[in-house]
Amino acid sequence: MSTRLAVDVGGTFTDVVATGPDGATLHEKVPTTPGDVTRGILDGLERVGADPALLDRLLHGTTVALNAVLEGATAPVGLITTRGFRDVLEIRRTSRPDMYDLQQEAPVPLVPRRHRFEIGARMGPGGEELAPVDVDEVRAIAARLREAGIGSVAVCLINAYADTRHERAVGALLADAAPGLLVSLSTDLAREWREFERTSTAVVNAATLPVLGGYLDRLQSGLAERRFAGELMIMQSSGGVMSAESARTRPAATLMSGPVGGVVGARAIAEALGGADLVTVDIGGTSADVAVLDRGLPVQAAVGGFGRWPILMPMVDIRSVGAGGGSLARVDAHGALLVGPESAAAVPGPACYGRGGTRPTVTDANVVLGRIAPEGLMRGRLALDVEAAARAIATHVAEPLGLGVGPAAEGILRVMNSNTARLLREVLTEGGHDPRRFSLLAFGGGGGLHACALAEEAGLAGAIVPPHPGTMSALGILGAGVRHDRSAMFLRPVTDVSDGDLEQAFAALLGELRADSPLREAVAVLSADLRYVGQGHTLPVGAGPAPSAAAMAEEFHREHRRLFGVSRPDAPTELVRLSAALIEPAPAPARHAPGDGPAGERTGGAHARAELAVGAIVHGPSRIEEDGATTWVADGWTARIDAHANIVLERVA
Amino acid sequence: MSVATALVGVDPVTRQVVQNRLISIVREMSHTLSRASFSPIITEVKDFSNVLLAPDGALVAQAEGIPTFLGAMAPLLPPVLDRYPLASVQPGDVFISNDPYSANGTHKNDVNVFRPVFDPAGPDAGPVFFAVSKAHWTDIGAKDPGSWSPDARNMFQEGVTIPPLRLVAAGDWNDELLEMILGNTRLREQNEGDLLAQIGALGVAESRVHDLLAEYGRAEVEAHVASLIDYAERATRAEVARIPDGRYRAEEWVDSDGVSEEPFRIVAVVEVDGDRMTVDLSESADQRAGACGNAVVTASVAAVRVAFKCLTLPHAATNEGSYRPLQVITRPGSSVHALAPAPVTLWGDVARAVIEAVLGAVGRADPSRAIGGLFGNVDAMALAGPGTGDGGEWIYFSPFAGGWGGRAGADGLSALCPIINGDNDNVPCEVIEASYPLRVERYELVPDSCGAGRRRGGLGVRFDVRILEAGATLSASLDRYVIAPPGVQGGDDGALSGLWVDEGDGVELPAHKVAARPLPAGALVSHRTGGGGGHGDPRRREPALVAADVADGYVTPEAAARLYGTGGTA
Repeated sequence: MSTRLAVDVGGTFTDVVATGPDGATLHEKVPTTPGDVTRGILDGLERVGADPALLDRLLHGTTVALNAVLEGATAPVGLITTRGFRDVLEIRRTSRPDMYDLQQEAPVPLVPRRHRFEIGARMGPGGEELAPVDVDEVRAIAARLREAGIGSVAVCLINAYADTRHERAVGALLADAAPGLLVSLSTDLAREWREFERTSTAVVNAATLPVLGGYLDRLQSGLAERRFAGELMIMQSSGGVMSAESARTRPAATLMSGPVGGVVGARAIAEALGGADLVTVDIGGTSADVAVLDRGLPVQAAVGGFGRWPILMPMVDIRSVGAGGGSLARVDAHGALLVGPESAAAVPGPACYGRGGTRPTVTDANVVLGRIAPEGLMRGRLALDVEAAARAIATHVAEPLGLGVGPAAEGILRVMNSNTARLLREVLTEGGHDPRRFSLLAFGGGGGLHACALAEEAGLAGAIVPPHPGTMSALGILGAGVRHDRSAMFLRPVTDVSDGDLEQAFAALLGELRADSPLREAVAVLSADLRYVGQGHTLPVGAGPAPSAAAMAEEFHREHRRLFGVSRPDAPTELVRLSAALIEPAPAPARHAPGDGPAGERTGGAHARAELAVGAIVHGPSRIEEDGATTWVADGWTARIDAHANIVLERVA
Repeated sequence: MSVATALVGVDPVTRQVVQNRLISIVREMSHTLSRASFSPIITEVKDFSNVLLAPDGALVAQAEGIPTFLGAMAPLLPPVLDRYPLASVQPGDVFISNDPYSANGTHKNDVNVFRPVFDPAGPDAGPVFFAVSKAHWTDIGAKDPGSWSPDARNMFQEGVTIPPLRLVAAGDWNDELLEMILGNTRLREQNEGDLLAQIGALGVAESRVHDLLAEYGRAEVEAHVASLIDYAERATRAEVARIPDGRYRAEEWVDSDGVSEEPFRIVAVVEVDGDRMTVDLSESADQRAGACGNAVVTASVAAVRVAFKCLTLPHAATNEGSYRPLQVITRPGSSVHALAPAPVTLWGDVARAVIEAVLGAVGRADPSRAIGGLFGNVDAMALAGPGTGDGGEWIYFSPFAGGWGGRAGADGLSALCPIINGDNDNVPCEVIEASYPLRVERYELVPDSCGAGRRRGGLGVRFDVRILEAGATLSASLDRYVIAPPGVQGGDDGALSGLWVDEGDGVELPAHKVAARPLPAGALVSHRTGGGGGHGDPRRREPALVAADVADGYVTPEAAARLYGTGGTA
């Protein structure tokens, strides 16, 4: 049977996808088991019919580290900084993005001030030693950490990005003085300037290290009992996977491990379409996640992060809005119809689930309008109560607005789509992308239901619903290759940098990467971040096999003009950072069998996706059904099955 | 059915869709501006705002980078239309202004550009909206580089004056006017780039509004805008009605006007009558000699609107309706209603005091809304010295953060930028050290700076920087170094702000408000912002919280014993 299997653990469902020996994929959705999610994973393995003993590789997207931070369930952690800088973690960047709320709270630092320790060692910005590491000082801190019962510590010293010697010396002293203490050195994770962001990265890593470690212990022992002897790989926020052993030391790299799977899957689809410009939307129960693929490549965040803790590690830029199937609709005291961000969540869920929910959700609106089949979801495992949905909409939306139930349900969907389209437009225009050039790639349980309306409202070229939209994240993870990243500051005017300087700097980065990651087959990808002097933001530019500062500057001017409409080839331009990645070639993407019904055109009603062959056309209004998801072909739209088994949605001219 | 009858004849669903579209448009203007600009004050400090205004000046939608521009945009349009009547405005026009007096500007660095947006289906009916962009130019002429002169004595020392003028007429640029403006500034290239970035933002707005008009038609868009404004008004009135009726007075102080070291008073008398609020600032001091001592009336109204927004709907979309329940009264010739040619460049000091005076008065109306005093204002510091940069020198410039006041339900926030700033970051210490001959020796919270209280204030920040090379100078303009951030409801005052120079002999010399003060190599400059005022009687603070503050070193054991009477043990 299959040799490769992917697991994506979400809040409600655990998705398992495996590649069979014939290259076809098998999909299974099982309930997530709260408390210990490893039980759900092992159940899923059994249900999909995979024999763990025969698997070469098990790839896993996990939100264990993310949830620990969001829920305040991280381990007790200490912090060691340069003298005078222990409050950097709390001072943050001093900004107030929420400008008018006088009652707002600051995020609580993951290390209380009493557990932040300072040492006298000091580096200058050029890597010159101003004061050495004092052995006794570090040993005394090790003793205090032990007394306080702290098992994990972050170390972030000023200017360590320029020279890592002091951080490494402190790490060695701690290992010696406190065996078993878990140590996260900031420069092992990110060798970039900006002390707050690097401190935050190291602290998040230290705080999630014991949590992810304990989780992997449980998972690996469960797998071992089932005679699994292959490689366990963990999804990174960058879109590549790493070994479980790497993940144990770099949990901060796994924060977007779940949602990024869908974007990796989108990349394979974009590639099949010849490097398409896509904007993805993954609509689940409580939120819609949005990412951009510019000419087929996922756009990375300039500074990644989540909540309010930045992470200086490669991370696909994924934004969220509280708009999903469970989003609640209500009319406020002044007559505005609002949808989300409050959600009915899994319990009680939408009114139509019949689990005690009485307030209307987006799913209830879709059910009332006949866009979700009343016989239910999950192969009929969940029958839907259409009347309960209509009642909830009547009471909470239709009557207050003086509308019928049908128009009220349509209103709920229009507001939900408008809120999501605002995020789609915002993400695109912020990055300098013209929405008219981009197609929506819609997936998740709710993506297909909203695809036409979102494309319309956001002014996009069209929409695509990929095969198996309900397990898209797991599919993406299944197709992810191993990836290791390294970057270093390189702040120099482009005119001062010789090709030899660049070659040397990139060679050093690659040398470190190769020493750390014994990838048998890997492609090296080099890039640099450039900016005009005075700009706060940079643009990444590919470096090619024979890097030249002049060539990269030219490419930077072109990119700046392409994305932002202006360039100034005469203005002083500088290199800021060099990056290198070793990327294992991804396996051949999963093949999807198109439907086997007759080709030709259909109109109205409901159609099974499994019966739509390549070239089949469905005219809206009509719905296309498959396991776990429905695509709504709106009035004025047609759906066509392309050669890759995608549903391509187009406006009728 | 009271809700349904309150609707103004538009479909509430489409109205919500139009609201999202309008917000997208003004935000896209801001993205366009900040991506095309190369000036850190625009790209980093976000010292700009972009709006759509109706031809009558009503605010339709706004994207703001800093709070004090929130209420400062709508007043810009009437002076333009006074000079160029609406009937004479054509597609492709661009207007420009910056005069705080004749153009209802803020200060001269803030340059405003306007573009009328017509309906292509019916251009004869006149503009539907005006797209307007305000952005801070790094230099606008004036006696000092950066046009940042606390001691300016009149508006003519503050830079080139641009009354409302037509820069582009139906697509034709007035090159003479452009040369006249740019020729009066120090950073011609940078300013021209920022101007083009602003005009680019206006073009984006025009094209997106055209899409909206094509989809819904002018009449329907206008009906939705009117309904959105009514909605914001109703929602705001409901919030004002929650404040107890009555007349409440509060005073605030500004330490110096930049010329004299004499503190002066800002007074707000707030009258709440049902769902209406009147703020009378007439008792405030007479207009002052220096540029830290004055604001024009539109700027003071904008400051009152910041406080009003904080008190009503801090998270809601803002439009003209958000301010209909508010009336502001000022006295011409006072520091909040300066008359030409009074200098106004550092109007933010007055704005800070106006905002806090309004919050203070409402805090008397409803103690649960009271908030302890804020650490100060932007408290900016500039260090400069001979170097290889533009003009042959290096310049490090940064605003600073400090402690905010305690609230009824929570301690004040530490290390946060002042209320007139918003979503703008500090300069990281590692970036400072890599860029300038400076070494940061401390960047830390100041223990005991927080005003004691049942809910204590937030802590101020200490930033110590060593000067590594000869020839450096220090310029700074602090606030709250004489009069401390007040406590409320029985809480204690927060610590003062202060800027101190140790030239190497261990003696700290004050330098709270200085211009180009020489610094020897090796000098240590210590910038310490104050803490927020406390809320409520410190003796009522839960002993466990005091003990935690002592354990974390936010409060010293001595201060805990003296102020809280617990000695820091639970």
